[in-house]
Amino acid sequence: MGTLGRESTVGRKRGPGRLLMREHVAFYLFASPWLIGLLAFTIGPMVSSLYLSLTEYDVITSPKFVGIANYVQLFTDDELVRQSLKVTILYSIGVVPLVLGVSFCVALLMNQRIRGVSVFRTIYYLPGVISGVPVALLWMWILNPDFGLLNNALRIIGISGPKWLFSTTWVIPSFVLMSLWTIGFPMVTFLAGLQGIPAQLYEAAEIDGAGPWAKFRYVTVPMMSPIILFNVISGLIDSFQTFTPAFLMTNGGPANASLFYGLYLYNNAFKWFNMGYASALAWLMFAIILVLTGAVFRSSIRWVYYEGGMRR
Amino acid sequence: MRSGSGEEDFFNKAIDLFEKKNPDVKVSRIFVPGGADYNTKLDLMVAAGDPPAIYAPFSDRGYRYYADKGLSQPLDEFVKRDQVDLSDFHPDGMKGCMWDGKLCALPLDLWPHVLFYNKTLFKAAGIPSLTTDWNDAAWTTDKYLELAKALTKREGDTVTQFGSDVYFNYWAAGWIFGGDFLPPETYETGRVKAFVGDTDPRVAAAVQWAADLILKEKVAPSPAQTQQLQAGAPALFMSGKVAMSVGNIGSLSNFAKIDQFEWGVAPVPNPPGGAKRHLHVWIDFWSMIKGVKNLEGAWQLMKFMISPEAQQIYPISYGPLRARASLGPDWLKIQKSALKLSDAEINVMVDGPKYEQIDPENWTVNFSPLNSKVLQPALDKVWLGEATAADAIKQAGDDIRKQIK
Repeated sequence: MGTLGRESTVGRKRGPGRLLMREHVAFYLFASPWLIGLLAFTIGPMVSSLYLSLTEYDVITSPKFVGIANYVQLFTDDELVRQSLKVTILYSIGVVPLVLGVSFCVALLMNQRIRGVSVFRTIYYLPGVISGVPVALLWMWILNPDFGLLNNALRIIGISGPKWLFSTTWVIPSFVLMSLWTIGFPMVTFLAGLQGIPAQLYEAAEIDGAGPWAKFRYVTVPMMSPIILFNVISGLIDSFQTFTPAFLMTNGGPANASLFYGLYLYNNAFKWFNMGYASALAWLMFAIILVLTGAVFRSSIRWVYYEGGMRR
Repeated sequence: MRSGSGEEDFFNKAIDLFEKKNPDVKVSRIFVPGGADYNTKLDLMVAAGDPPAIYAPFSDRGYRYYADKGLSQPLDEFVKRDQVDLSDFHPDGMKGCMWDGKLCALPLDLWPHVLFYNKTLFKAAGIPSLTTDWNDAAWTTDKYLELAKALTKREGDTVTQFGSDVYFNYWAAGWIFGGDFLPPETYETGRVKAFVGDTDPRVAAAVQWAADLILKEKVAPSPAQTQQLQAGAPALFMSGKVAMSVGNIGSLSNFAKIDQFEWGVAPVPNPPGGAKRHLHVWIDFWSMIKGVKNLEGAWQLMKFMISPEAQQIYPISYGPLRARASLGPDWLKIQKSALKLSDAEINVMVDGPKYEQIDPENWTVNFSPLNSKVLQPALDKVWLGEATAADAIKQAGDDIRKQIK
């Protein structure tokens, strides 16, 4: 883009200021579709949502300004906010390390030079491309306490399985277990990271007498730490925004035991049409994710290694 | 109008007839799936200042949601001007049309609750057919439980045939023995202002009875067993593995397709000890939003849709009961040709609304959120066996009172 601008103006012997101006215009023209999209579909709705969070708004009548009443209510007088946060945090605590650990282990396996490994890679990634609805239906059958695949398998080894989705105790572990279905994407990013580790690092470690565990501990893990950071953050954000499985499989039940924060927000917005309150809930979620992401980034100074970077 | 339940053809047919009679009028039809999607679409049209000429919500958030906000178009003047005879409509239907003393809707259809039963299973167990008399005092929930036990079959620990379907497992369970979660004035004002479910012992007893069919007596399927037995069928009763099922007549169009077994219709059982039955009927309404562009045209369309001529098409040909009493014989005739039921059985459905009343979801403006936020999650624990009905309702009562405040 810049080069084209330069060539076209040099011939006309125009000044450097004009050249710079043309470059700027060209830049903004080319970037404008994205900028307009950002303003219209992200920044605009965010500003609007911030204003609506200070109102009582049911869509069909004009928003009524109520100050910070919605925030006061959600912090002091809404048991379901606490319940939905509890559900979401418990789920996140279960799902983020589990998906991270399993996908990392699978990526290590998929990084081996064995015959047909590309087929296995495809198999592990494939579930991730199936949309949420069929996956939810499939898991409802797998987790059926009486006739489901999982409890039948447990029965074979003499274990009487729990009621899974039909139990207030087991419904969140059910969703955590189900999240293993989505290891495909983090696995691919881990795999890409593993394949980017220079072979000479392992060779140097071997010369220094490192065994497989030492190579993993002192070469693989540090070199993979930026990818781990990326997957921790995206996993956290995803887990806090969980909606589809709870909406389709339990609708927040039984007894609100799977009332994820995202589902409660949706219910307020599109079931009870409390758009102002739902906007306040959305901003609380944004703040929580922002703080958590910030905390993870801050902690990353201690454990993430960037090749060529300085450890502070 | 609602889509997705096979009703589009019937609505289209009725509106086609209206257009034929009014050649200078063209009606744009918008079909949206019932429930939340319908509500969202309607809200967006209202917010955009372009409400539909007429609408029928078909959901737990009826026209009163708009009436309560002063957005419903009153119809009194039109009815008076055109001398529309409202005496033919079901009394509860008409009661539901009034909001703050104004006529804001007109009844469309009624979906009474009845008991469907599998006659083939009854015959195999040597049990005679059920009564068709709503006033039969011997037909009680005690008798129902006795039959359910007799009709349940087991192989080891596994139930292979259930005597009962899940009886009511939502707020309606509290009504089974004649009680109510809400005081009577709720049905006059249309606003939930008090909760009495924890002070009326009949409510907890009824909820516990319904839950015990699953948990203690094991004659009705758990939610997990229902999921497996139903296997994608529109209703569990259609699996042929359930002997008795309380439900509304919205299932008739599906049940008409049953050819694996013979089935019949009976009244919902009475409470024990001669108490009065408390049962609900779903009622749908046509209504209009203020600010509709062609008010006179909208009224003419609504007037036509509640006319005997249009009601012959919808609701009568589709399945639910007509809102007009005078069309009873027509509904009877159509259902007789579609269903293999006796006149007495069909009359059980026709007479149903006489013994049933409008429900809090259909009538009040604030019950649905209270129910989905507090009452239903509390009742879930009873059906899971994690709380007694009395404890769950007491807890729900405290929370609902707090919410009402």
